[in-house]
Amino acid sequence: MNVWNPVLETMPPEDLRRYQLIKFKEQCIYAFKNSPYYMRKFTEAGLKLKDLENIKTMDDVLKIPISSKKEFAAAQEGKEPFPYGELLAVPIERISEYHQTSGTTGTPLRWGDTWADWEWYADIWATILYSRGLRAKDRLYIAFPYHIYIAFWGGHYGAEKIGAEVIPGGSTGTEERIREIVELRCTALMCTPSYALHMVNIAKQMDIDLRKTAVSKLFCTGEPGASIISTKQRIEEAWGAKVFDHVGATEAPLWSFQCEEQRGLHLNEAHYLVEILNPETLTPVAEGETGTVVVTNFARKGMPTIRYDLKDLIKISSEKCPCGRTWRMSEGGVAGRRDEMSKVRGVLFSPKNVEKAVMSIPELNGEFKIIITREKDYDSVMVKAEAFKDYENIRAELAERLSKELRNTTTLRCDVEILPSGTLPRHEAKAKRLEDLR
Amino acid sequence: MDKEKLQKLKDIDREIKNLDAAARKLKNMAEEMDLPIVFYNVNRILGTLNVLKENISEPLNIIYSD
Repeated sequence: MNVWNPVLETMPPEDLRRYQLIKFKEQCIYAFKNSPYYMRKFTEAGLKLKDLENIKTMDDVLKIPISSKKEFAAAQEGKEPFPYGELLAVPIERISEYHQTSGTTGTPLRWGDTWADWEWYADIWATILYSRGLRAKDRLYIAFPYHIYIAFWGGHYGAEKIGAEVIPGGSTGTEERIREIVELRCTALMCTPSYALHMVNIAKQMDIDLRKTAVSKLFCTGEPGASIISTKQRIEEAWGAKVFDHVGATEAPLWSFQCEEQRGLHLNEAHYLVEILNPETLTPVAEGETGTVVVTNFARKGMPTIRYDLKDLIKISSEKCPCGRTWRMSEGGVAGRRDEMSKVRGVLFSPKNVEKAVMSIPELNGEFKIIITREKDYDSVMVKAEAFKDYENIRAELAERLSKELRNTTTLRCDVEILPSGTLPRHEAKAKRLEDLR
Repeated sequence: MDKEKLQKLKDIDREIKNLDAAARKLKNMAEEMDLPIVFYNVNRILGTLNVLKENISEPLNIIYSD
């Protein structure tokens, strides 16, 4: 068993629940006393310090108001101290790390961490990398230019904590990165799933068989692909390596991850209280139902996150993971995001289901784009996907097959266009697949 | 958790607390005599020690305090 911290990872479930409630209470009290945002938020909800001190059960947790990204953004916009605004809960000189969200779903949030927060963050990264067998003898290549995005920085420091060698891919081109991975005999790779596939396509053009590299583990993040079976299989086959998924956000990093057993995704319950709520009523869902994820982080002091609605949809698995961790698991990772789920002709539509269809056709190279339009009150979905060079002559046949698959995965009739390889724009960070023009 | 393992963890917890106390003392001394190299390096050590306090000491104290 690849356990980084047995005290927290194998804590009996009943002790874990008790521990979580105590940590939840402590963080609420800390936020009330130090964060102008939470002081206002809790006061507006009629909560006093003694109410927070009396938190003892999950019913008490439900009395604490939920926060959204929109509220966080409003608490920063034009507010002092710049750039963190009312979310900051420590004197600004204690902040040593700056990051921000990608802005995919609106105004980017500016995030400040203290050194202690940052060490905590590196440690949870170390926890998940260790759980997948990364060790000091490994050489990890990070195919991402880092920049202001938190995830890959955390991966870098977490791997360093274990003692692994870390090679930052920087902003070099894909060909150069592939050459470095081969030449330096890297044993592990970290990147987005769409970029892992893009590297496969480029390697083919370079006449390099990635299965012959030393890479045996791929750590994917930023997009749901590594939990979509068809995408994961495609990456694993092309690289001859195991692919691991994990989920997080700048506001709540690594709240869920896949361990060495590669079953569902564990909830990181020692560091987060993860609630699965009905998206309409915001009350806990019944066992086996899909719900929206609301998280509370126990550790961060620079900018606390309490009952924060991530808008990710998951379903808790009843399966017990053979890895020995007592942390619950979700079935197949994030099922979708509430802000990406749109209604098309009255049917819930998720880009993840389009990806499932595209990845199930081996002649397609995995690049795709979805465009939703509305004409005379009628919604249309156009899916554009690229074929591998060798199959560009059978594009009509591929379009027919993809159309059928899409019917199965989305239950909708979608228009399909198969494009030559290299037509669609490439992304190193989160791939922007959906364009809703309605 | 079996008693022997718990005792070993409690011994580790005691040493973490000793380290933390020593680091805090060092930080105060560095601050008093204005010695940035010690102050700022120890400050980072305290951040690292905080991980051990939060992830080993605290859960032990909360769950296995008897």
